[in-house]
Amino acid sequence: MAAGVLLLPLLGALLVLLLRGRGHWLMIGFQAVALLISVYLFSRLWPGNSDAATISPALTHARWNWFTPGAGYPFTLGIWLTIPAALLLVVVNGVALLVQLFSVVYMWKDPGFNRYFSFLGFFVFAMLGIVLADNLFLIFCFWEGVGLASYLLIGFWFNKPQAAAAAKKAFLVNRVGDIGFLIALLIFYAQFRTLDLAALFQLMPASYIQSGDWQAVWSGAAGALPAILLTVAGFGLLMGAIGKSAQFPLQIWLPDAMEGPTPVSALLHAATMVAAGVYLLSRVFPLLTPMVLDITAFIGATTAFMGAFAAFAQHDIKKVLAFSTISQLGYMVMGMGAGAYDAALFHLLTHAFFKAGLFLSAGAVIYALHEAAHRRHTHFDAQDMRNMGGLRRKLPFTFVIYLLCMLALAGLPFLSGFLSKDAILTGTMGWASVARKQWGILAWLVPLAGFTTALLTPIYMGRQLFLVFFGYNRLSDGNEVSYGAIREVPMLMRFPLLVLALLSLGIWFSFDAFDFQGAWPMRLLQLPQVAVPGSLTEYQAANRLFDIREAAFRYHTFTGVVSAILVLMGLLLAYLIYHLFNGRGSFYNNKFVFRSRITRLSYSNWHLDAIYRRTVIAFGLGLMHFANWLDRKVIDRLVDLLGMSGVVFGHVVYWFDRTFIDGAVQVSVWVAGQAGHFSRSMSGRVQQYLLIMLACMMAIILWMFF
Amino acid sequence: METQAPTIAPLKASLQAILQDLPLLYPELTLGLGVLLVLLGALLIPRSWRNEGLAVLSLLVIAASAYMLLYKGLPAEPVHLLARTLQLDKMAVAFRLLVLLSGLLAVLLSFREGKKLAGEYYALLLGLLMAAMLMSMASNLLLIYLSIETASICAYLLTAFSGGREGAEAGLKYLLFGAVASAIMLYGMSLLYGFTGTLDITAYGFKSGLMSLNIPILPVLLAAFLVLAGFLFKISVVPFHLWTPDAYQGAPLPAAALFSTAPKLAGLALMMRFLSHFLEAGIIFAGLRFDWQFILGLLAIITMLVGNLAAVWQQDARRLLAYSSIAHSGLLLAAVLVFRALGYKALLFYGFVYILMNFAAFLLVSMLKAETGSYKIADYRGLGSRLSYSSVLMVVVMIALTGLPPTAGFTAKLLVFSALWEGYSSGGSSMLLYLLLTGLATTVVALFYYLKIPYYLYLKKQPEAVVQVEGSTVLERILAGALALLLVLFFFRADWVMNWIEAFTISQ
Amino acid sequence: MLNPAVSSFGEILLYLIGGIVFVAGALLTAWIIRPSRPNVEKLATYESGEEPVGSAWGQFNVRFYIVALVFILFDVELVFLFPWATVFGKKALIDATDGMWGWFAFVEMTIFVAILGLGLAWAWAKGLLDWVKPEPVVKQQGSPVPPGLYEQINRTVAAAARAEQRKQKE
Repeated sequence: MAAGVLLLPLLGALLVLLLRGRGHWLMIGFQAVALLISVYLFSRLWPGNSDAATISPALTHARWNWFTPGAGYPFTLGIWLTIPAALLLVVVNGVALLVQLFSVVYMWKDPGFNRYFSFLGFFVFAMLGIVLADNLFLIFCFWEGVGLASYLLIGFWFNKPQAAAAAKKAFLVNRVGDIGFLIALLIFYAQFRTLDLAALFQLMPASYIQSGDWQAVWSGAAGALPAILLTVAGFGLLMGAIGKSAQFPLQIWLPDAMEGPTPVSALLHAATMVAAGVYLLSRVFPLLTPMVLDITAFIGATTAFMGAFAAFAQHDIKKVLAFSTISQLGYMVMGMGAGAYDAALFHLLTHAFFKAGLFLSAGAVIYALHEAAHRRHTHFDAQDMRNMGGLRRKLPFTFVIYLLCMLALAGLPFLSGFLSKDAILTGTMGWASVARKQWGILAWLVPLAGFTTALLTPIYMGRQLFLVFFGYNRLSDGNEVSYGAIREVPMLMRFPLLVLALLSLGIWFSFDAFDFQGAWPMRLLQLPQVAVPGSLTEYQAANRLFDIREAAFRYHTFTGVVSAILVLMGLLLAYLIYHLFNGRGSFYNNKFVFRSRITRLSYSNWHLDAIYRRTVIAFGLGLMHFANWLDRKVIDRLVDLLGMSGVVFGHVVYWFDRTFIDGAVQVSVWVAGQAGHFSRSMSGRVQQYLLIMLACMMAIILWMFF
Repeated sequence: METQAPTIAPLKASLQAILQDLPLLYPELTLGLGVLLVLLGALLIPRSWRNEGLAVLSLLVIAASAYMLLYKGLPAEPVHLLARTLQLDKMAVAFRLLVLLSGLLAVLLSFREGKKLAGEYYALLLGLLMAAMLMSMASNLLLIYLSIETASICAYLLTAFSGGREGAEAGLKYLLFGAVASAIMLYGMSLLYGFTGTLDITAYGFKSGLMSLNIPILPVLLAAFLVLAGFLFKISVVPFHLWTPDAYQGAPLPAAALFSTAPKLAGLALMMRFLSHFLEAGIIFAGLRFDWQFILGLLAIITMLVGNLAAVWQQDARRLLAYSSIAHSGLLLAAVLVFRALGYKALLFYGFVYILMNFAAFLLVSMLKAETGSYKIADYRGLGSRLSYSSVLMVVVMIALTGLPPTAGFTAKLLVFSALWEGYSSGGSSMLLYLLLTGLATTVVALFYYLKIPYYLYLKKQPEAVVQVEGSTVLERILAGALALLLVLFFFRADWVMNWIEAFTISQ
Repeated sequence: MLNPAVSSFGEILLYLIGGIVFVAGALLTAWIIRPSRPNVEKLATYESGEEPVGSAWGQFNVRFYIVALVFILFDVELVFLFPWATVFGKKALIDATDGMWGWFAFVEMTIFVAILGLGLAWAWAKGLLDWVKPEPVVKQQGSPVPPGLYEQINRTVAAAARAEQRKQKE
């Protein structure tokens, strides 16, 4: 059944390609069926509905033999439906369905309509593959599939040079992370001769570390590997997650990826694809050593802060959301690293809904402005916030949706974001109080970054809210006429928006708006048994996790109060800075540019692109130039020499060829041609056919007789 | 059935034997019933959905027949049926399955053409399948003749079905040619009956009659060759191939695709059965050193040469496929001539793959015809960019027909060649080596004309925007895609087919 | 008593003689009572409305073949049914096989007749048995002469010819 969920979008994608007319209904139909099945599967796994004993293994874990390497165990492929996987199934399919509904209107006029839906279907297929696969290699395959799908979708308007470049950038940056992933795969395979996750979870605790060697315990175990490789493998997996989830230092691709169609941004870069990294970390959580987890927490914290900071000074409505996504993903990774496994996944869930809602409302704004420009035959950048303002009156519905989702993102109590963000912050507090023993004062930097981000988030989101929806409209240079032509978006677009906004309410997740512990995702998600062998650090990893969670419990009330205060403060600051003291937004017109050093640092995303250009890319180019020089001056010379002798020899051969071989070939071609001509020399007269046949028969019979 | 039973007691036993044999013939009986059902359906189904209804009905009949074959009609060991007129062994089962597969594909291909055709079309198609299945089992000269004749009559009518001058002309040519061929075969059969006094080629009397010293050897050889001529006509081996291009060009495409698979494979099965009995009887001819392998091998070589060389010059896609089918006949015949289990396996594999790629090729030609309104290869110019899906599939199928990796066509050819080599190197006739060399040489020739189509599709410029005529249907696209996919799949997983074939290998 | 083989041939001889007498009698009666007004058409050999003399490559109306086929269908059926009834209807054989012999013969013939019946039904439903007269095609040659004019001329010419004849008789 789970395989059905996996294959339905693929089937839809293929059929849509075959279809001549518009194929959206087909894809959406398949998607809806997939969603229904996922909901059913999820309900089956719900602890109350059927206890673990009655759930058949066939439902949760199905394996098939793929091939058997020369000597060793068969290589299996399979589907492993765990509770997080089932949850993700519902989220991915649900958001995908809503995005597809939204896209019907958004992409209606695009000539690549069917191609678009087919790509979406393929993307969902690959994403579900990551979610369901029970095998690291299979995950890697689908991982690359997601990479390909995102490449295709970001570069969907490949005629635009920026879109093509962004697609290429996303693809290449992701490959950097994939190298790490691949290294991890190789290490695990070398050690255990299997990449099956369930098998790894059993083999891993059995292995042990002794005097710097990591020894596997199973019947065919070879010699030990150096212990450091266990950590290296963990880092490899982390690197993969960093690439896909746009974490520091590889977060540069995500803002550029906003060149794709906006619904794509909602699906890929908010709700699902970037979540793949976080999900991967959760899937392999038991295989990560405490060292790796700590580094994960630091990286997440860094990313959360950097992303939030970079979101401050952007003009593009989608780029603000893109940086906010980076920041929120940083939260999740940070939570994952801090051992708040359940909180990170909870945030992944809530974030998927409100961020998809935000992107789709941004899409609705862009669509409305674009249509208005079209109606009045004007032309302006429909994504630039400098051309917006005062849209609350024109797009009241979109405004309400945006407001709800934005407050959820900001983490206002009673909305979903507050619960999950709080859970992560509490987890980091607990982590810091335990990790203090290794990292000293540095450990407190992680919760500090978390709280800072919690303050920054309402500020930059408030900035966007006020600049887009409040104040006066800032269209100018003859484009003012378009303001009157702005219409609310069609009903088919409103429906997904409404659903997503409703899902951003906290009430769905927990009745008590301040108690994330009581939220059902938190109760549902069990902390997995840590499987890495001990003695790498002073004490067992599992004990450490236990300590962390014990410590976190103490900070529950503290973080709740502090973060609520921070959010309210942030919103107030945003109102003051960007609305009241900003001439109700009127200074932010299309002449506006960021001038100060701080805002330019934010605008350029910490100058990361420039830094990479000067270091990594410059180094690469230098290497290229050197190789080029080597090639031309040394190798080419040799080749030339060889070539010269070849030419001389060639002339000799040529003469021989012309005279003898060619003659023979030409004769045989001529013979073949004539034979062909003869054998098809049919007049079409059946009498002649019969004559030929009988004559041949007679010849054969005569030959038989003599 | 003998009407004048000599005594009473054996009569009852033989009647009961017939009743016992019937379940093994359910596949054929199902098809026969299907013919009647389709005719009734053509009278009763309203015109608005008659074509679809009849096609679905035919599919159901074929599926039911296959079900009967697989679940009811598998004898534990080779048996003789219906008073020794049929011989049912694993080989017969394998060939009957292949025939059913090609019938299934033919009906699937017919959805488009069927609209223009009357209801009898499907009835004749099923009749042809039934006759072909009987052909692969027949072991009695009378039944051999009857089954070949039934298949031929259905084929003549199907050829003429596309209507118009072209169809009528092709049908008439086919009919005249076939009538002469079957007259020749009948003459040979009557001679054999005269020599042996029995029609049953499996009977002891047949062998002893042929080996009797009273009969001079040459007339026996002549009679055998005349009978073989009838089979060679069905397989379309040179010089009995002359009807092929005209018939394929005139016939509806699915029917042409069917002609080049089902009757051909059934004819090969018949030939193998006939030759195996004849060779057993032919031990005594050793003194004369008469070598069937040589004479038939010579014909196979000429067939490969003529088919491939003539195909190079064809402008019409259907005629090209007709000559390609002749060329493949030569190779299939070569596989028969190995006379070993290995050659038999290669033949089955080749036959199976050939069905897939042949139907795929015909289907794609039909799809391109729907898109461009033409069968001319020159009209495919530059379609590669506009009709990327069909064109890519066309490339795959053409590569398969040429016999290049990564398609199952390569595996099939490789198996035949290695069977030939095996046969030669383990003390076989040097004819097998010549067959192998000709096969290799003609593969090179085949490259020229098969890849001509991709060449036109991709490397030639489209002259101007061609008006789209009908466009291909989703069903066709899916079917073509599936066939091409299978061709590639069976290259990588040839063992799946081989396992299947192992199950049907005669233990000789 | 004659040899039984000869005596059974005697029945056939009787049939032959009876047949000859019947045909000869009919012709004779006709010759006695008919008026004798021969003309070219009447003297020609009867050939189903076709030209009896001419090239063997001449074209026949294709319906002749269809009717001939349908006729043969019944003819063969009938010719087949008689020997079937006499050969298979042997009580000794039926008894010896517990009736199986009879059932075999009956079922097989039923199938045969049913298939022929279906064929007839098919031919009927497809309208192959309707002998439709070909619609006379009025040629529109676009000549300036009105169509009635020719008839008028014919009539006057015929009237003139009749007047001529009458005059000659007188």
